[in-house]
Amino acid sequence: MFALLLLSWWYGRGWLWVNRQSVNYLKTIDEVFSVATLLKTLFAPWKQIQSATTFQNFIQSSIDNFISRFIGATVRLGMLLTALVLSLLVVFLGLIVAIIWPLIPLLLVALPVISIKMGGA
Amino acid sequence: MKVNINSARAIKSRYAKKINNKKFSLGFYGAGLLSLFGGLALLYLENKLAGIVLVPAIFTMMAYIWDKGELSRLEELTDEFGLEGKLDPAILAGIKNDSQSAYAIWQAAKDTPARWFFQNRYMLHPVIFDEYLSREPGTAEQIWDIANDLQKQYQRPDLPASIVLVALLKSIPGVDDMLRRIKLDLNEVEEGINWISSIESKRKLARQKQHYGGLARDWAYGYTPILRYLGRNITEEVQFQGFYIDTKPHNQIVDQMINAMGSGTSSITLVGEIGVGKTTCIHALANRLIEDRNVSKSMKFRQIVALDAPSLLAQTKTPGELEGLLIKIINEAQRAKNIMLFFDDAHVFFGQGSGSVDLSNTLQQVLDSGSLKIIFALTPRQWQQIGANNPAIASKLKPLQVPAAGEPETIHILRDQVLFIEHKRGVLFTQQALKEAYRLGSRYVDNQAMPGAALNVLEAAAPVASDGYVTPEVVQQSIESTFGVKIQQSSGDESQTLLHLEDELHKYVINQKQAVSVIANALRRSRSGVGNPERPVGTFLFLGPTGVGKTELSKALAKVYFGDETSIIRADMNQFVSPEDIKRLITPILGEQLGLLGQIRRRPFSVILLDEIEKAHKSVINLLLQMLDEGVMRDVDNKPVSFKDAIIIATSNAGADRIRKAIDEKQDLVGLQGQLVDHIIEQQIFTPEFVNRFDEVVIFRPLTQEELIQVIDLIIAGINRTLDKQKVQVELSEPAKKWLVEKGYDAKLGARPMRRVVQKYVENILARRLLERSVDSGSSIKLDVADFEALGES
Repeated sequence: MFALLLLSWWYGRGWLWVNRQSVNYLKTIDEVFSVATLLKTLFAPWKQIQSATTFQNFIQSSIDNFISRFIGATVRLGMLLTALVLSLLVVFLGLIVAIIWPLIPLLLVALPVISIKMGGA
Repeated sequence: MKVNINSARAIKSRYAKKINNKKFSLGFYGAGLLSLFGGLALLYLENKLAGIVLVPAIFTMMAYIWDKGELSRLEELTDEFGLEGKLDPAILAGIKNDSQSAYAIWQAAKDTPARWFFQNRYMLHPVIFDEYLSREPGTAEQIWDIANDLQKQYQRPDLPASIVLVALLKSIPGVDDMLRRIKLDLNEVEEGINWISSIESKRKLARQKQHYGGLARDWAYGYTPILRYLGRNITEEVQFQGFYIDTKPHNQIVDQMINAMGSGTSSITLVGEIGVGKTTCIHALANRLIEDRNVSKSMKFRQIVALDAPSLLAQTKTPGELEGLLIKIINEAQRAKNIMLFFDDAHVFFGQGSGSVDLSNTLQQVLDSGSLKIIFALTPRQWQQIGANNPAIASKLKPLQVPAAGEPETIHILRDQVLFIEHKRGVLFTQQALKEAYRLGSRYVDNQAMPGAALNVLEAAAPVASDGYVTPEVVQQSIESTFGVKIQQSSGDESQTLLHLEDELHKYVINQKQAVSVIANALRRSRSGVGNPERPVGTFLFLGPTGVGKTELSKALAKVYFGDETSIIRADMNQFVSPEDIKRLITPILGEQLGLLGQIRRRPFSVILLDEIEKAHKSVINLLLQMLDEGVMRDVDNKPVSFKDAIIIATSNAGADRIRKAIDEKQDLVGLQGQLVDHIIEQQIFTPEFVNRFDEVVIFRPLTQEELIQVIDLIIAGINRTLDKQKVQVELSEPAKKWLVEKGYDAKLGARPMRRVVQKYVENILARRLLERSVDSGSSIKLDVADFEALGES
């Protein structure tokens, strides 16, 4: 009964569950890296460091503000790339697990058969 | 209705129970690991048996994954079909055969956390279930019916152990009486279903990882070094410590704040008494802003920084410097673009209270511009004062009232909050203790509103618990030691004192049997729990001529029962003869002295003596009506002061001549009482509503000459107590006592001159002899009439 119930779960809800874990990891990456915020504020000044613009200091303040926005964009792009790499990794591993998953119970039969065959050879 | 023990969920529950058994899992997973390492080793050695040896490892791994994915989560994985589809897996696993009785369900539920919850929180002893549940097969049906009803009532998708246990309890005949004995009712036990699920959800919440907006949340907002140094970032506190309070009143106020600020209001004032939870509302708001995805964009991820007056004042030397610092803070917060300021005790910034500085002008400018969101916290009185003194500022601050919590909300909040005290102190609070904290907190903690008052009571009670359980008795004990009151029902020595109170009082007061008796009865009623706890212990109007023992009885009561004579709070009512004196009466602290209300706050368990009440002004008398009736008087700040643990005695000479005349005519005292009351009302000395407020009007009759001899004995006994240190005693012969009584007798002044006479004759003679050293230590001085006459001649 134990094996029967285990296998029925493994090929039913279990398969869905393990795939949902991958989706959960993707959501976590999205939340931890705050991807939406990074995209929305990609060119916002870094930590609001900016000069007030007046007619006299127009050029200087424009340069300051450009630098602040450039730093912000660089850091944010770096984070976006890291999030992307991690997400791809999760998708890749998730796919592998999804493929391997139905094969695992088969190992219970296959491994002894292989052993016996090899031993018999 | 029956549990199908052969259903897939029932079998899985049994597997889950087995696999989570420590011994079994150790062996099972141990064997799996052994197989894994063994298989890998054989593989490394290119042994052909490796495949076979690895099979148990793979099987164990699959079982482990199954446990994580389904078996351990059976609680959440319910289905709509049958009882077994929704029943708590621990109980489901425990039901082993088809003979399903109420007792069998109890046996299955016995090891669940819910059983320990009810045993510890409600003091529900398992014996109740063991002894009273039916063991007849088929009796389970009734339990499942009750459980299904409860499930619908509490809108649960499942049938947790808590519901099953409550259903079991409800099925016991006469359970109401059993619960009453442990100061509970079924509704409260039912509330345990929500309580335990709230604890479980908090535990889950604490385990869950929260990301609160992620890494980049604050990158587009400015640095705030000054606020970091001087302020308290409430948002960060919530982020790192979590926020686990979830109550309707708090949520409503948070909703109001978010709606108001989201729709353009820049500043809000939370108006509520100390202890209502204004700061908790701010924590709830901070939590909502970082956690709720539906909050408007303009409010989302705003950080709340609290600024308190003392730390700002400590940074500066002059008001000018403080103003400069405040401007810097406001500029920094405005530049950062994600800051919301919270001013606790905000009245200090508006020039109110000690150490205050008026920064209204600076704040007014910020409020006018609406460029920064600010929340202020004020008490209703402070809010009123700001409205009166600075209407321009008040018009800019949208007030939100934070009302004091009622009993159900307070108990709900306490259930959430005690978890932290329990964790810190290593104690456990029972439901009965929470109720008692509410009851006693509202009665004795008058400087805080609910739920703060009850929470303080529980915090103070935690160290008193000797066996780790905070029960109502522990709460009472803690309140007794903090406030010097008596709450626990009398026992032992105290019961004996109460039973023989008349005898004890008569040691200090001669005759006046009726007066002594009514006082003793009032105390016995109160301490046995028969009296009305919402009124003073007793209220008495003592009528009688001067020197008959009215004040003496009050003092004697203070000494015999309340511990010592200092437990008497005396107010000479001849000092309250005009309406202007009312303020003095209701001001708790008068300069460096405590007023009447200040004294009663410090010592609620006392005798209050309102001497010469007839001399008080009518408006003062009117003020006393509520005190006599409800045991409450409001002070100058409109805060209630409780008189519910006091005995209130008002004395008056009104009608003294009439009493004397009636006694001379040998009239009965009981009959005289009615006539005398009519007389003082007719004479408009007191109004009928005032006289009727007293539990008893007691007439003190004048003392006879024989009784005055007993008074002399009492005075001499007092002198002997003083002389005790010098090991000397004084004795008077009977003729000497009579001589003193004749010398001091005055029909109008009663026993009052006796003390003077004793002082003049006895104490003077004693003083001389002691100075002359004519008395040996350990000896007794015997005085006779001749000694007094000799003194008179000298």
